[in-house]
Amino acid sequence: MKDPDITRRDFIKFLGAASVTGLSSELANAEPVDRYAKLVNTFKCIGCRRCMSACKRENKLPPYDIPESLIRDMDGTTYTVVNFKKSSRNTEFGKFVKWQCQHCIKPACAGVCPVKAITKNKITGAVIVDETKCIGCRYCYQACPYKVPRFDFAKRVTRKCHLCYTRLPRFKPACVAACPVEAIEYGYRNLLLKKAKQEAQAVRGYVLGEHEAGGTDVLTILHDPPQEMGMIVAPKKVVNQDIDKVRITFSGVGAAAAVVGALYLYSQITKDEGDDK
Amino acid sequence: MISKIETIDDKTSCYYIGISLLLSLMFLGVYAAVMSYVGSMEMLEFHISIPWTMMISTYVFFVASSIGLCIVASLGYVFGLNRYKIISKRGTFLAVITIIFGMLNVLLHLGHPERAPIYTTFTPNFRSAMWGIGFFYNLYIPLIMLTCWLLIRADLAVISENSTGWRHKLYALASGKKWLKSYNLQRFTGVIGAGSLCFGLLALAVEGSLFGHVEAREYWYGADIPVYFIFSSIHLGIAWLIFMTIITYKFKGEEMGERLKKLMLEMGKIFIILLSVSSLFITYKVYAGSIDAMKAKTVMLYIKGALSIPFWIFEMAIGTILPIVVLLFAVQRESLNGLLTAAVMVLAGAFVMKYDFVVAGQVFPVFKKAPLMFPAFMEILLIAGIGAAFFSVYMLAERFLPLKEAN
Ligand code: SF4
Ligand code: SF4
Repeated sequence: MKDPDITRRDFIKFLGAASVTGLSSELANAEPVDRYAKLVNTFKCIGCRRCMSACKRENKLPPYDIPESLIRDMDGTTYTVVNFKKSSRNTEFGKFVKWQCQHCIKPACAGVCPVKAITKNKITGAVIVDETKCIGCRYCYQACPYKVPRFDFAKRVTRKCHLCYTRLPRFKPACVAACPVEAIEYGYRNLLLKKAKQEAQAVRGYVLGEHEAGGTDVLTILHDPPQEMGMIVAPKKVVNQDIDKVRITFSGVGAAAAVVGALYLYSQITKDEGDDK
Repeated sequence: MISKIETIDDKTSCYYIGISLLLSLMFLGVYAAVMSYVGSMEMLEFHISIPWTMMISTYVFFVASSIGLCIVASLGYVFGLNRYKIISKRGTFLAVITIIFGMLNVLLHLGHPERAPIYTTFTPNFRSAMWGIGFFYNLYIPLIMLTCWLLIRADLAVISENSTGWRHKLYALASGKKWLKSYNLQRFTGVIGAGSLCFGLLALAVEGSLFGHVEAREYWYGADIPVYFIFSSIHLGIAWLIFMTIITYKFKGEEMGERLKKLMLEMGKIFIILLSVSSLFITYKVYAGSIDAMKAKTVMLYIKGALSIPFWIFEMAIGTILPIVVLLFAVQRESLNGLLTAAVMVLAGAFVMKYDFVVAGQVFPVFKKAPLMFPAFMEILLIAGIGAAFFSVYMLAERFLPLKEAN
């Protein structure tokens, strides 16, 4: 196995990190020694869509009603899709782009979930929806900059890619394991990012996920920036920051105070004789 | 003074047609709700990429109405204006049922409503506006119910005294005279009412934040949304009070007392001011949106896109401009029919406005071109059922509870 795939040494390092930070359940809150991430190289992808079938198998999701090649978007039982995308800059060539939850470093979806059904494991990178907790409000879908979490109408909960968290970090996610051309890799984020930048530089491509949404634990080497590829563009900052939420809510609280003040003034100005003091 | 309690007793053919219509709509609503449970909730959505539609907008419409009603009614029992006390009972009762039916919309929209009380209590996310809404409504709802009860309990005791048998016992129980002897609880009512007003306003501020927080939905995002939610709730409250009061008197064929009529006209004047401010706000929002690169695409949906008809006809013409004109005439000529017409127009316009706001925010960046944004048939049935249940509960309350204004 070659670097940056998970080697025995990596795993021992990970265990070291885990022993420093405590029990595995506490990993989610621990600051990582080094976080893991997934790298998708669209320059390598041949569009075989084995990752899509592997995802279905691994997660015991119902099979597609139509051929995989015709699936364009994710849904409650389709966690990943592979779409052929052409850049608006270069329409001669196209690339197969594997798309899924980007496992944001600071996930907006987790920030809005009213019942904390979404958690981020800071070491493995996985952003996971607890399906036994989800109330099915779909607020996470609204908050996600990539519109990833989808409602499963049969289970009545929101579902999405969870990075095969039960396999991590000992084994790779199912899609990574299934890819015949190693277009998807899982390993340390810093090493993958370095590698992605080098490869992108060589082909004059673009690394998606370094800065988008404040950085994501899925990195994708694209032909061109996402706006040129006709993909959803996320701002290059953490979305839904708590301080911003406080600012917005306080504008409403200010308006509420103004209404109470206006009611008081109105009652004083229009007071009749006999009105309560 | 406690008035003699009057109820709907004349059962005309119009009354029976109305009841049959309400029952049929409620049946259809129950059918849609059951089908969405045994079948798939997908039937309640016109597009799976737009998950918040009419149920959410109706919820927003109802809860904003409830807070608006609470604001107007509080002028009597919190701020001590005697002329407003006559509408306190009807106002708070309407505030109670609008919030309950509003919540029903959202409960039916949740995939697992039964989990909500458990996990919002045991694993609350204080960073989520949705959790905040639940928290403040959990305070607002019992307080507004308590306020309503405090306002009508003396009248309940009168009905109890004037009746016999089970009716006597039931009303005595409802008045709570066994536990709470005094009926002179104005100060206490004022405090409870002030609590419901504060928590209601806070809930609405957080309700606006639910949309305002979402940075990934450019049209919703921003500090102006909670402010608009708060201010627009007041004219909704006035519209509901004018509409329900006048329609009740008309339905019962009763003459409105002078004091009440005067108050209706006073509210009509405030209504004109609020609608004028609201029209300025809409103009500002459209202008600011059209020059904001992030929001411009959605604003164009309103101006000349998929939402242009609902926007120009319902929101602007029916919901804002025409009611101002009608109100100007109505106030000048002291016409209750004019007030009623304006109130109905504003309610219809506000209902469409909330729908447009909720769905328009979800179009971009998912769609390149906006889809047809008409609600799903089953969702319409469900909302119609909820609306019918709302009016039925109000009619029953009008029949059995002392909501009538003292003339
Ligand atoms: S891409 Fe969306 S669903 Fe995935 S972690 Fe980020 S915010 Fe959550
Ligand atoms: S749909 Fe589920 S996971 Fe998403 S915000 Fe609501 S409760 Fe949380």
